[in-house]
Amino acid sequence: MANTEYLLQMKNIVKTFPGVRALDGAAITVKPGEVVALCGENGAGKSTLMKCLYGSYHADEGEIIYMGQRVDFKTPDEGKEAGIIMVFQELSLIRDLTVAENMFLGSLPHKGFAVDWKKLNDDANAALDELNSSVRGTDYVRDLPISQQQMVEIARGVALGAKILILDEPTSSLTEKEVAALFEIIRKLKAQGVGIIYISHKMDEIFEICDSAVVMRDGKFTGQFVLKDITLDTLIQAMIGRTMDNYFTKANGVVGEEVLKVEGLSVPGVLKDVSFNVRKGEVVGFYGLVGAGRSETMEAIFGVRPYSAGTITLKGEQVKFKGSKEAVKKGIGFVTEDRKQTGLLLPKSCRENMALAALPNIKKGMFVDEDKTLEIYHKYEKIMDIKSPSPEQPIVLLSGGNQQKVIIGKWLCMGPDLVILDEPTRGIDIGAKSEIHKLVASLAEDGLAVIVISSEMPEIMGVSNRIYTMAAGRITAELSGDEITEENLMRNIMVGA
Amino acid sequence: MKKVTSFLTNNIAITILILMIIIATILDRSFLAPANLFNVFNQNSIKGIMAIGMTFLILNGYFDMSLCTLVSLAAALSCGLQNQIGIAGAVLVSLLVGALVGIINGFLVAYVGINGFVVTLATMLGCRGLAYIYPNEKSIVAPNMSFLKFGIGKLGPISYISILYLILMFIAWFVLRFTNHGRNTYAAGGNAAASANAGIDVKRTIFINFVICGVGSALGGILYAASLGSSSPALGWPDMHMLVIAACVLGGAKLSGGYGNLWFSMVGVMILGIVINIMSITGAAPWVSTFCTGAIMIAVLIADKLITDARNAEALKAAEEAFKSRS
Repeated sequence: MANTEYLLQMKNIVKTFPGVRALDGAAITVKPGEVVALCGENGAGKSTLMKCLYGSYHADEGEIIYMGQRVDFKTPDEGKEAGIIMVFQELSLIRDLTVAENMFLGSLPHKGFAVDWKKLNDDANAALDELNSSVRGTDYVRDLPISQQQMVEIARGVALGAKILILDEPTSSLTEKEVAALFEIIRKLKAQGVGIIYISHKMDEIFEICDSAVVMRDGKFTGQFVLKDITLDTLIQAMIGRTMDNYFTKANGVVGEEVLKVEGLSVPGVLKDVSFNVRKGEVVGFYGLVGAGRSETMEAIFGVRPYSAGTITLKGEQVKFKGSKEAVKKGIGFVTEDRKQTGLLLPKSCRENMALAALPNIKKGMFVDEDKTLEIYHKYEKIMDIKSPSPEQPIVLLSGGNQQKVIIGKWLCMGPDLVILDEPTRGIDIGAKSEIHKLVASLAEDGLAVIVISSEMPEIMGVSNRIYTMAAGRITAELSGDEITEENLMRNIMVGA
Repeated sequence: MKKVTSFLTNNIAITILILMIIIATILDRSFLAPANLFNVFNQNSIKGIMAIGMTFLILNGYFDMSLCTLVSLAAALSCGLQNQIGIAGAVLVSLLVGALVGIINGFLVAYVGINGFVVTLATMLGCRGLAYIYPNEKSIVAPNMSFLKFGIGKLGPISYISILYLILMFIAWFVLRFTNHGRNTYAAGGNAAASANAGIDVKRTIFINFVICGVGSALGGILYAASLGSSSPALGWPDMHMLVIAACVLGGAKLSGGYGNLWFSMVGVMILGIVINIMSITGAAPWVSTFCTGAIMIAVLIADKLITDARNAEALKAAEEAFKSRS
């Protein structure tokens, strides 16, 4: 029978998407007034589990018992109605409306058929006062700093009568003082019996504010621990301990001279004092959580993100690119994270996509030398084993793995010295993944310097000769050889920012 | 002083209006004569009425190209149908045609999901065709004199049409400020996804605003016909929708949605009106005023961009401070 000790019990939740089992027996319990940390790697299924809870997704299997009753919310609205409030990491406030309107969006109080502004503002201020916030209901959201916007989101939860408040990485944009204020609010809500699910990667915060922690790994529940009974090590052990797959191929080439040296690279609010180097013939991995600054680092090097301090030395020559065109000219290839948005001309053919970066070099008079593009395509089709019925096949019709090969080929035909691969196997099925991994290794063995960014721990461990870990815009460690262990990686990406 | 500067930079439409009045007065003292000021207001109130509907739509993040030819179509219908069904009937049918075009626009944009620019471009062309087909490519003189009497009638210095404009402004202000639909318009224009999450029917909101804009455009056409006593197939063509959108933008409305103010749209309309008025009292060629309108808009948009950039830079600096304080 329903256990009334718990505010919420989620048991054995399964959720599959085409080709992926995102949740596979996930679980969590929350008691009234309990703060439960939800931890796990990127992609462990934390947000999917929360979406199943508040009604954005619908679980395939398992049961959700909320306040003694089995529930199954069809829409986020139903979840909200029942008192389950999600505070998103990316704030979902509307900038040009007032704080009060944002708090009661979609359910403004009325007097007759006119909006009752006085009651609206009074109700908003009451909720804000309860949180000791200096924000007023009549303030415009656009005038508030991020931290106070977050306060508004939490106040919205309070005003809507939240029984369970889900906070997703709530401190990622807060200063120390603001974090302290947030914890004060959490304690206050706790005392009122509100259950809080606290999604975070920051171990120090988890141990400070949370009562228990649920650890997820690959969509599975690994355990719910009472935090005062365990140590940091126990928690980290629970998060890792996966059996390594052996389909990885590590580059085994001759490491040569330094190709890229970055010193003290800083971008206001994003990167702080980032220094590293990459040599000919090696694969250097960048590991960290989403938002740690890995892609941003590469963008700064590639000339598409302005930086305020630091030097970048490419093949012994100090460079500062004003745009990607210069970077390409100097021998950098950049395979971006989001293929469809920034990598491909989807309706165009494989041949045209591959020749894209090389176009300025293969002109015949004013026009593109079409024969040359075909020549290039055939060369790399063979090298990389691209499976396409014809060079004229629109690239949108190829599988993710083959699309990725075309993009890599696009840069290889430029004859680069350095290739940057940002999440090269995202959305690619497992067989094609290992082909990409082999390709990465062979690139390095052929004498290129290769940088790989990945959020998948087995991948980064499998392909890299050396790994830099990043957290909150800084490099936290450089690991090579035996130092590359799951525990070391996990520890270094979660150091309190 | 700081307060004044901040008010002027926050409300750039007011700043431009003040500048325009100063320039106009320098060019010709008679600009400030009360009769001339009433004149400017009366001459631009029809445009103002159409700008009300357009403001709803721009706040929602869309705009309507079909306004200009809906003006000529509604004008033709309101004159041509008077013999058969009387003035009231003709006006009502014209408004319904405006609503129908708005329904088509709104349905295709909100529910079918086609881009608003191309949808309203298509209905603009459709209405242009009908505006020539219905009257056999001819002007129609309104047979009933009371139509014209209303169109040019005045109460003291202020025209009936201007009075109607002010009444509609108050109604529209009330709707935007105090009704669900008004607040939903701001919310949906500001962030459609967040609004939908909060349970707002975003599609319906868009749909209704296209209908409001369509009816407003038709009303504009009817009033032009009334003030001229006749219709012509070329009325409103080719740039009436552009001028109305320009007025809203001059009033500070953002085409990306969520930001704008009805009263400032009125100010925008009057700024355009003052430009034309100066040109006519100084005897400049009419197209000089159109050129000046373009130049003023560019100046305003640049100023607005600079102000926004400065603000963003400030915010970024604050974020950097916060980042520093943690590391």
